Amino acid sequence: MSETSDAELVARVRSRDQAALEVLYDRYARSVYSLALSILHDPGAAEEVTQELFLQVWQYPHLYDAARGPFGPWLLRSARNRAIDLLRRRTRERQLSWRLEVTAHATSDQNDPDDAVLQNEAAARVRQALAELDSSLRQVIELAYLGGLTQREIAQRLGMPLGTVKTRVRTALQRLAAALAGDREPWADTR
Amino acid sequence: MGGHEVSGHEQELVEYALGELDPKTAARIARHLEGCEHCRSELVRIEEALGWLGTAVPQVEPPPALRARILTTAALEGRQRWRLAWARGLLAAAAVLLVFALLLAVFQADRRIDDVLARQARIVAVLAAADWSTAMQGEEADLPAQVGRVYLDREERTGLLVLEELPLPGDRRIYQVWLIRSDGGRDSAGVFLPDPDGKALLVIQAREPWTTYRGMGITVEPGPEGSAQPTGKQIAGCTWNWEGWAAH
Repeated sequence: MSETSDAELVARVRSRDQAALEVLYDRYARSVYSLALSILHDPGAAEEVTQELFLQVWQYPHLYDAARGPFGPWLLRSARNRAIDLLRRRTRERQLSWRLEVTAHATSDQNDPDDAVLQNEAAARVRQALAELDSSLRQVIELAYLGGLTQREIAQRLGMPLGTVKTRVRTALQRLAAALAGDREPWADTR
Repeated sequence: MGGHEVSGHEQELVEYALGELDPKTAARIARHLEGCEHCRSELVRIEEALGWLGTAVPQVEPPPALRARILTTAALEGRQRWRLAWARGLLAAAAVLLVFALLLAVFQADRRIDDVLARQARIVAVLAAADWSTAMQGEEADLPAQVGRVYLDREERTGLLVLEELPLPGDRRIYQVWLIRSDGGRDSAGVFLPDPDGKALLVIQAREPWTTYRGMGITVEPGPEGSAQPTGKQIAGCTWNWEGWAAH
């Protein structure tokens, strides 16, 4: 079943095929766990996020809607949102600067020929586009995505006008989205 | 992207995807998305990029024990779920129809689709376990005779309160739910405001098992925190009648 598509595996999970859940786990657990660990910096909490997420896929597979894109990025987005929610609950009283510190330069380019998720063409394009971003753009997207900071918080921390942060976050995300279609040209600044 | 048509919504779509919009703006964008295919496909692209961005972090192998734990839990949960579905399917099926209709109604006010889905998952889980239900009766002249229903799992401490016709309680006031103990004492089960259509879906967590209570009441209290004990008149309520539950 290791060649089966994600969509087919999710359909089998819907009909209570546990072997399909195992294949999805083997395919995505490392990406999910690594992302949660990068956000939370706590192996126990990363395990908790990974466990909750895969059990949710098992219990409520209908929550994934194929019309809203492929399964992989949906799962990773859910992992990111769960990890950020947990991070926000844990750091509500702590200094924001701690979150800033741990998220600086948190991303890196990956090249593991054995990992099907990393070898996914769309994923590789997005990572390539991230690597090609100016450091000013990369910084804001890392703070927003992995640090869970709002654009207002980023502006405060970097001592930058909110409008500049918004423009940078939008430009960075649009370049990553454009890279999905193989489009290397940055989008026109729509401001 | 030379030929790209600018829709004017890019900034809001980015903030929508990041979950940064306030509920009112998010609801406006959700409404816009329903009718704008261009923005819908833009959002799908932004969300897919955000998802794959998650692969740009250093990769770490999860502990092998985690795999076993998840698969064992899934196997156990699967059996239990089907047993419950078989035993309690009738009640759950009726309730799920109602709740999905209400979720559609409250969807617009929610901040993120993920929030809605997580909430939906929690509500469905409570309903799947529910084995008893009763009507919540209006006790004020200007309220309908039935303002909603309560769904409980009698062996547990969670329940769902579904309210359909409750007006907003007035400036700086809030509704508070009380669980009525057999000795007449009241345990607070939380405060809430219905949406502008008078609807609310509340997962209730009781301090003690349901059988130690004899009913539930709703009062109007000072917002936003509510009160330690009821200070306002009870405007709606119900008493348990464990022997049977009234049909819809």
